[in-house]
Amino acid sequence: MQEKEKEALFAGWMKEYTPRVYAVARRMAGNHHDADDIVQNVFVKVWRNMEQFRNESKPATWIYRISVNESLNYLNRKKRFSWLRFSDFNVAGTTGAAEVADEQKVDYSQLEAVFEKAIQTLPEKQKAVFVLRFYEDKSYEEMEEIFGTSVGALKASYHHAVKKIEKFIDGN
Amino acid sequence: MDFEKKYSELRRNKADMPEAYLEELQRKVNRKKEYKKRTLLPYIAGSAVAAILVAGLFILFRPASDENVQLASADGISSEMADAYVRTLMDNDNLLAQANVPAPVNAGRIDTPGKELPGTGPLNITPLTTPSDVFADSSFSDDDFFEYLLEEGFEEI
Repeated sequence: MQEKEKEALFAGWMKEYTPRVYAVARRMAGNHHDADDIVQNVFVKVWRNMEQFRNESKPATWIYRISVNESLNYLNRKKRFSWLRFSDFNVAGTTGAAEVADEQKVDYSQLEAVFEKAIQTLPEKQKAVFVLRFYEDKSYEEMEEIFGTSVGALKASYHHAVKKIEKFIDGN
Repeated sequence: MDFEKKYSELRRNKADMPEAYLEELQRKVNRKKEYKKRTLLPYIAGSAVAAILVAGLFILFRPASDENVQLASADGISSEMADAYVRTLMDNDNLLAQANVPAPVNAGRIDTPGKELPGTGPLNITPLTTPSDVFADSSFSDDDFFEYLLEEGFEEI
């Protein structure tokens, strides 16, 4: 693949898939700042591995898979280094205009806020399954390709996630 | 009610990205995507080489210590002078060892009432017996020996 071709294809993918990648990352991380980091990492990975991508699966499936893996890795890393409490530092320049606009724009109702909290209590992989199924309307077959997990296991995972969210909402 | 239907309103909220985010993202990703994957190995190797160089320079140019000065000044001393010096040290050690021999129990104490101090010159007390003599003395019983040890500060085991 020539450099110009690659650039054009990458720009097209970015334009097409950024909204979906951002939504998944945002649901997984629960805030814009972390979601932004995840999305950047996803597209850097996409760029670096474009040559390896063979059209065996759809680009969307491939990019979703990278998004889910990157979200899980990011959250695990964050959990591992939680003792550093990065969130306590407001590094200059990290609070961009886009973030401020985003926080102002999203006017969560009370139920939405509780629902959001409930999602954040789920184990990471269960959370990813729930987000892709509930918000992204992914079929189990498509998710099987993204996660590399059987349909049965995904169904069970989603079912557990739903039960936990219902229990959380009832308790709040 | 079905979970998806119950919360269908929430389902529509797709966590849309902020306005102008795509442009911001493109700038950030364009900056990042050209970075080569970095490994810490060159930094570690560089630090190690620098540390070795600093250590080498320190060894080459370190200030002379007292020990080195002594060794340097000893170069002008003949072996005969050194032997004489060692002999003096050994003699001093012998004298010290003799002076540290404990006073015998049966030699009497100089402050015992009724005993006259010998002579009028400087008092020069020399032990009459050595420890081996103490054991050879038949009048020195085991009880006397333990008493002697206790007097000298040995604790009873």
